[in-house]
Amino acid sequence: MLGSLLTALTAAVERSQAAGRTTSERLRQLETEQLTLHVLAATVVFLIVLPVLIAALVSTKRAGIVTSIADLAPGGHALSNYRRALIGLEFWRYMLNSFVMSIAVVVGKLIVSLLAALVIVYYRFPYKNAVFLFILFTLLLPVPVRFVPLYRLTTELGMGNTFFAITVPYLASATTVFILRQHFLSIPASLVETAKVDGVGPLRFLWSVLVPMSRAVLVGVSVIMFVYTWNQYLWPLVIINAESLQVAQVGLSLLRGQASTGEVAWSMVMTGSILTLLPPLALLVLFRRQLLETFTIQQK
Amino acid sequence: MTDLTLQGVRKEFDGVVAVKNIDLHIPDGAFVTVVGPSGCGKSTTLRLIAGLEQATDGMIQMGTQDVTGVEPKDRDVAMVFQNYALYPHMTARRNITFGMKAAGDFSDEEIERQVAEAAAVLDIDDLLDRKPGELSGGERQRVALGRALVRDPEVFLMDEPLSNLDAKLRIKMRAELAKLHSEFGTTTIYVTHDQTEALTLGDRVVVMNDGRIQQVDSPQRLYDFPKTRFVAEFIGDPAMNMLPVDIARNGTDYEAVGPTFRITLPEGDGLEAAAGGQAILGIRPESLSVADSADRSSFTAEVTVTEPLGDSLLLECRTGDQEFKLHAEPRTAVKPGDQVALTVDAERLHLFDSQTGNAIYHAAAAQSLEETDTVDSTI
Amino acid sequence: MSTREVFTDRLQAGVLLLPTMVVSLLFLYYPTVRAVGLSFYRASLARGDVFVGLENYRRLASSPEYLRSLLVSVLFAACVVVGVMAVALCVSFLIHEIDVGKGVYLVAVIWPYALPPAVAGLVFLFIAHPNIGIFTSYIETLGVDVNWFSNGPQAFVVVLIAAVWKQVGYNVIFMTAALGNVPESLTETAELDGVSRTQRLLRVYVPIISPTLVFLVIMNTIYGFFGTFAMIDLMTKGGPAGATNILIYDLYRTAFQFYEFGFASAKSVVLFVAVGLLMYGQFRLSDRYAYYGG
Ligand SMILES: Nc1ncnc2c1ncn2[C@@H]1O[C@H](COP(=O)(O)OP(=O)(O)OP(=O)(O)O)[C@@H](O)[C@H]1O
Ligand SMILES: [Mg+2]
Repeated sequence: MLGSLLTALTAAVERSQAAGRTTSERLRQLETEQLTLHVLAATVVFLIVLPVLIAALVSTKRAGIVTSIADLAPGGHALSNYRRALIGLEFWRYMLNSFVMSIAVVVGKLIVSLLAALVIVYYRFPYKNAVFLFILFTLLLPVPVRFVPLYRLTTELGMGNTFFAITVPYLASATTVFILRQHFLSIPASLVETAKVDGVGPLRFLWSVLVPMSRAVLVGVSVIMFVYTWNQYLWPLVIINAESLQVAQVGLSLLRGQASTGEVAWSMVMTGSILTLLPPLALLVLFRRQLLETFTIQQK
Repeated sequence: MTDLTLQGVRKEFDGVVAVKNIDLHIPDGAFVTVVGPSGCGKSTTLRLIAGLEQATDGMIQMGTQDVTGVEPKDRDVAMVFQNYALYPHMTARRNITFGMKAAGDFSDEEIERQVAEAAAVLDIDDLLDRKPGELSGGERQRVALGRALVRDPEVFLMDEPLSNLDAKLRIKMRAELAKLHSEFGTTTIYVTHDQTEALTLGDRVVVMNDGRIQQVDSPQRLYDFPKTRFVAEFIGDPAMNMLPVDIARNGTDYEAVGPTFRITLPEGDGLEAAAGGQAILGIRPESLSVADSADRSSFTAEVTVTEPLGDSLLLECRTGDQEFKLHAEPRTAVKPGDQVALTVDAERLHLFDSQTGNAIYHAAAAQSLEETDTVDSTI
Repeated sequence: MSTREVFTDRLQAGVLLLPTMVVSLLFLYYPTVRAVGLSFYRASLARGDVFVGLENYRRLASSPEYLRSLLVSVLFAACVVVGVMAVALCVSFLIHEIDVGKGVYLVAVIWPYALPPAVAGLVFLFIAHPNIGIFTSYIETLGVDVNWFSNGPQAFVVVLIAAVWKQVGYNVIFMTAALGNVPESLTETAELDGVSRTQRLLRVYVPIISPTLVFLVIMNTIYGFFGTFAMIDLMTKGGPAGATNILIYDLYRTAFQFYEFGFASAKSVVLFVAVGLLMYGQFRLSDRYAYYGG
């Protein structure tokens, strides 16, 4: 009783206070709110960037020991550090291997998956659903689940320690086939019917209709595949033991080992880390629009 | 309940002026419809009243309180959206009570009682425990109305609430809305782009174009005495025919002279000033009819298209280089290419300034142009 | 749908599908079957394979070390899921509420999606280093002795923070997209009703985007189980004293430090079953939430 009277009273008071407020006051209130949000967001961004920012700063210093914030001033050794890591410690070789591996996997996967998606969407044949399930089911078999038997298989094939081992097993991809299928299903059926009436064959239809119409999605899945491949660590770690074939991810800890004999170990490791981060980061920033678009398809 | 005043309200979105200097007074308990073409600023006006947008200029008053800078939640308005805006994860009941609980000025029993009341009025008692996904469009709209009702707001704001419904349901809900308003009498502002809805629902209709109010009037007066050429053409379907004419004086009479016709205009205000110049003659399609035989007051035109509508025959005609439409008796024996004699209902003629588009003369009781309404607006 | 299926040449279809099918069979299905087979053997590269029946599984079930690893994995994955999603939800909501400059913040927040886990591990190893870490001295003035090279719980927390840091961006991608799909009019209705910001997030947005959240729970769990391998390898090597020895790391050591391939295969089979259960869980859950679309 008393409670509701009180609430009614305070509500009335609040309303009379609120009333009479001018637009500019309300606008200022909204602005303050937005400002607070911006400050918060900037703080979040700072925290997320901070570790890499520190790594980048350290990669410009001669000795990589920073034990307080005061040590964080950028050093003047950026150029010599990156040169030393890339050339002196031969990190360029790992980077190159990573590039070759990633590009081979992206291109191979794209072709293989495009063909599979083409068949799954535009062909009629028996047991089609079974085939699609067969492909989808591989989602349950990520590398960590099968790297032990895969290791045995690859070495038995005599392919251990080869370029083959870090590319071919990656070529089948349920995710990519699935994303492409979803995208093809969103393209009007009348297009393929027209093509059929005009006597356009499946491969020409793929190349001159589907591919041009799927550019954003193709770029998006390519970035996803590149990031995925570039960041592979476990499989190259176990299957490659020749240093000349090793990829950047694993090469990083080799760099750490080699550099630890010298005094600049940490700045070398951070230099290598930044180098390893740059390619996928650049792709993400460049193709963010296509990437975000493609992710929304993936979640289905 | 309260009355509502907009004074010199203007809204600019970076670069785009959506609403240009609106003055409007809506009396307590009125049902006002706002109609106009797409993009004319109807929704923006409504959202300004709700507080969802902040006016760039001007003042909004509810009762005696200036609410221009007040947060939406403190304005005590309820809004019904075109897409219903029901929370998909909540049952109808929860949807209805969620806002009341958030506002916190209702006791549990009160909430219960209000929900039961609203549900009875809207006939949704049986649906309260369903989620929006399990309701039809009409049922969802009812729940959305229920949610607005229980808040017992000062003002209802509705933005095209019926346009997602099929034609039949729309007519049914229209009637229910009218009933609800007569029952509760809450001040209501209803935005629509459908002129039938605007005319049938509103005590007063606000016609907007290009961010400005063109006219505020009762539905019939809007139809009979459009203040501008825009209103004349916007209200009524098919639109009023607009024919450029010269106004000539013939003894004591005034005549509208077209290339192939001369129409005598009944005495009225505005003719004297217009004489000797050009103007636009407005004739509604139903004010023209096919004459049995040509006489002095008729003129001839060529039929170009015939459209049988069942209860009438819509004719498209041409005379000289001017085209117009008219409703003829159904089953009139004419076909494209025929020459027909036409007469006009001289009491239903309008003249508009060819430059500004403002009305300069209405044949019927032109003096009532000045009559003021409960809703008034300055253009 | 059937109107799209205009090509009917079965041979062509077979040829076009061949690459996917061959690679899947040879490098995905066959190794999995192999793993199941191998799990019944004592297998090492040196001494050849000996059939031992269920011995490997019996060993698993009775190994306190393995049970501990299982426990650590589940705990770690749970912390990753909760930590990542709590942070990501706040960040996504923050970005959603901002009027101008959303796009910039989004990119500035999601970039760690591209961050290699190995780099994440090394960078964190460096900045949180017990001796030379940049923040170590500051934290120690608070009275905490930073020694995660020997303190299990500390190591767990440090790896957890690194893991969360790397994964928040991925979650923000999906959450902002889902929040962006919530009809504007729902937000405005809540605003007119005087629903507070937090209430709006928790009572309105979270239930509506729950299908996305379910999807992310599964993705984050899998990430917690497998995706953090590089960080653990570079930061703690599963230690100290098994505190960060999650299943995948344990499996790696069994196979490539102790070369017990049979035993490792049995562990692979367990992981396979775990992934299967997770995927099944997602399937069931997203089914239940499916009607939220209406
Ligand atoms: N948030 C906004 N930012 C920029 N421009 C806007 C915004 N909202 C509306 N506008 C512009 O303001 C004008 C009026 O829009 P409004 O939504 O009020 O039209 P409307 O009369 O409701 O139209 P419709 O019948 O199509 O709903 C349009 O030109 C529109 O593009
Ligand atoms: Mg609108």
